[in-house]
Amino acid sequence: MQAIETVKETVRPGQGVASSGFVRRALGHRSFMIGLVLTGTMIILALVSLVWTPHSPTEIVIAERLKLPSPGHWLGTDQFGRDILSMIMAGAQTSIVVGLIAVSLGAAVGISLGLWAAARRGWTEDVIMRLSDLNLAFPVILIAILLTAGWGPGITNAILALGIYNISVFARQVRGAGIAMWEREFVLAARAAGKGNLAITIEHILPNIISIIVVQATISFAIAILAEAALSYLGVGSQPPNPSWGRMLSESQNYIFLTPIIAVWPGLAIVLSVLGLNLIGDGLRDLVDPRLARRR
Amino acid sequence: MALLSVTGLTVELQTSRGMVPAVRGVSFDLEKGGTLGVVGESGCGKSITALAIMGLLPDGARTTGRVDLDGTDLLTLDEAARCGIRGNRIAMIFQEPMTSLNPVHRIGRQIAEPLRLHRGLRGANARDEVLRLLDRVGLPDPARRINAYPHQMSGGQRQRVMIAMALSCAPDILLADEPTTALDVTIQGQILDLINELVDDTGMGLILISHDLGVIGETTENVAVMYGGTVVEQGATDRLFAKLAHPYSQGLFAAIPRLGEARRGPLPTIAGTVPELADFPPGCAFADRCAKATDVCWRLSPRMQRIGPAHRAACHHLADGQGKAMA
Amino acid sequence: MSVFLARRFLTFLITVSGASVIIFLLLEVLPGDPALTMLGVDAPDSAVAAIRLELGLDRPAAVRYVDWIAGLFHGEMGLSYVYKVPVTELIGQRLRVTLPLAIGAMLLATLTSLALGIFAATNHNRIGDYGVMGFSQLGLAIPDFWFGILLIILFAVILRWLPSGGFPGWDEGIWRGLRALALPVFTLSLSLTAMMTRVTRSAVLEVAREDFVRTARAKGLSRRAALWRHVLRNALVPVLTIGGVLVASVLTGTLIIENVFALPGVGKLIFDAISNRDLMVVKNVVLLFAVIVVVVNFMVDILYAMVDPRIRIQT
Repeated sequence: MQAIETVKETVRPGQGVASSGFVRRALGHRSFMIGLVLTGTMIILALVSLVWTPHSPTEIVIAERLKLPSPGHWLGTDQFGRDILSMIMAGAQTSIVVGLIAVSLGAAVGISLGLWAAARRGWTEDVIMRLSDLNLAFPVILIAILLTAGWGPGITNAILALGIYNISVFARQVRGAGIAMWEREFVLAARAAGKGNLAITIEHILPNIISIIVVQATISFAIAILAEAALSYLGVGSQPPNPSWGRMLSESQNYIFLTPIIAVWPGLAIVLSVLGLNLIGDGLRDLVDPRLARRR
Repeated sequence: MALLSVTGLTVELQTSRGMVPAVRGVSFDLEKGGTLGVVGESGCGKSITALAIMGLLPDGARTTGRVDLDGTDLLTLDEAARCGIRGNRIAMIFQEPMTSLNPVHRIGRQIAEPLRLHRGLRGANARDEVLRLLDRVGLPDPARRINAYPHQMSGGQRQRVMIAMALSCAPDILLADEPTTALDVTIQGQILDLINELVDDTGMGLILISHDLGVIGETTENVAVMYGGTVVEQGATDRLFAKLAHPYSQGLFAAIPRLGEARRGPLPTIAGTVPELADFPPGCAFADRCAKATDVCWRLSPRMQRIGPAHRAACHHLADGQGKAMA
Repeated sequence: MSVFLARRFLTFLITVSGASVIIFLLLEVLPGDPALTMLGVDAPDSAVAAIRLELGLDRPAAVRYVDWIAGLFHGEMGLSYVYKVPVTELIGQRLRVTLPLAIGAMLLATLTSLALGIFAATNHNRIGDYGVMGFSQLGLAIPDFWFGILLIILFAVILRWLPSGGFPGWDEGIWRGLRALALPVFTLSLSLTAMMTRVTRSAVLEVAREDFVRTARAKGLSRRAALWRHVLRNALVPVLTIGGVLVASVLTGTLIIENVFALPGVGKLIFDAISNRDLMVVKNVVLLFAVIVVVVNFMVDILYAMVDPRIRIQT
């Protein structure tokens, strides 16, 4: 409902995220910039870890186990003597890859279904919406559990579970915004000019709801990072020796009476990444919708 | 002494561009049982003036001047005292009957609310009074209507409900802000007739706000024309209509299409658009749309001048225009 | 109203049947032979044959599905392959931990978030509002299992006030049970509170701008009275929506939190069942959760209609 209102009020034909003054307003939006810095840091850490980490994130050095932070190991070492900073850097890769694939999958299918439902209405829309009801009966973890029980554990389960879950998230958003867009005058004009459903969807509907999709993708990415961590924590996501923030936390929990600090770092990494993405998402919503921004 | 006396009222509103003056020195009087029409385009400050009298301006608004009710300046009262006046001594009805009623409460309950609040009526007593009010505003079958939800009624019926609500505590003054604008033309007349009849019967004062000179001309004894947050012309309705003095009033009048009159050429309009509140020039607010504007209009705000018995206007060029007689 | 109810109920039935089909397909049909899924591909043929016979896996999939559903109508979910007890009995025991956990967290989150959301809205753009919004932004970003670990470190490791996990059972006395659930409930409520606070705040702000609130004030109601009598009930609709959506996340949250605090609830049961490849348990527990999610959404729809009279007519 909120999304529909948003579109009606602010988006005009041809006015997307990249409208003039956007960059200037973005630079002046404090929480958006904080989000950008946090997320940027995470991406840079992941990229750097592809070519360099302070130590190997998988090398086991029993003599160095459970060390507190020191100049040699900035964040200390875990129960196998692995360098925690290196593991966090490599873990960022896992989070980003899982998030990217899952959100792209969900977005690709969900946006298509949502656009289709908005263009056709009638029973096509009914079927798509009932399927999405069905989809919502299975939260991410339930899908992951089913996949794991059937096929055995693996990171693919986490990606698939998140992707499937995101289909209905995007489909619902896009359908709502799309229907509102179909009622606009310029769509009527395009129809009068003899354009078909597909042409109108691609030329008029999609460009005008792109900002909503971008905001949703950012939020979904944040949720994907949280969910991947949770699934890996539960053992139904990323598997050893592949580094993952969630599994680092589940392993550290056995040692909280000895060195509680090792349970702090991976959690902080998750919080800062998710916070960064959420701030970007909220910021984008403000920036593409000045009507809402004014109220804050 | 006037029942309601507004003196030098100014209102500044908080916007994204800082504090912006929306009402700039408005003064008028309303005698007991008197009727006053306030007319002007949207954005001229007429609704803000009404909300300032009610004390219901948006957060962050700054108000100066005086709003005296029976000699008490309402602007100096605390919130509790103003709540005791709202809906009790001054009641208000709004433009949008569709959204002005709470969708989740039955209308009987909504009408009973001021009765309970100001007169302590409850239960069967309140119900009887609500039925009497619904009957009074001409709603058929009140006993059934009392249990209806707003969405089950038409716009005209909802406006009748709003009027019943406003009437409930027999107020001294009714503020009606564009009460018929959102309604069908056929219903507009019925609602205006109802308001007129209630004013005659109960002797309450009326301030009717409208952008429609025709509505004002038929309804109120006095009229104030507003533009850019100021009153540009005011007086007794018959005198003012007989000799419109201000160029803006003339333009407003010329823009009314009249039934039964052969149309010669296009309908006259006032050139330009209303400037944003923050952009008003330092001189006369109407200067940049006025055909008669000269240097002095841009520099100096015109003062209110008496131009006849019970008729005043604020314009630097009153003398050369001589006013235009009503057609 | 009855047409509305009937339509909703039909949707509900379709969704539940769809869910059961999907679960069955994903667990027993698509991965191949369920006997192999349960025993692993390396299992000796004799063992595979034995389990096939024991669980009737040699029958066609369609027959097994109908059997499963028919059993459910008689309140039977079959035997757990590992524990050799009826699955209904297992779930029944475990729900005694999971339900109090979920309901406790939901109650705590609802009360806290309504209070915080209304407080933030009435202090719009003031320090209290910023404080509440900052808290909820943080609450949304903190993974609940990490929050649980931090609480264990603080209250169990450092302060030693509360147990670090485990559950003594209700037989040991209500007080000890509640003590064991205190940290889990608080942990689980964090992200719910954060989400519902945001929604409550924006709903109250949104409704407070409506014309009918101005009408209420024009009648002489004070700000506070207008808030309680006219704003809150209308603001309840979006809060209910999100509340319904969040029931799903409370449920999945219990799965995670029970593992953090080693609580013997349904969540622990299902992850043990995954490790033990106990398909009977997985199948029925997942269906149970999916059904609860759908039932709650169904009830939220009905609740809407009760709160907002306009919906009854429309649908």
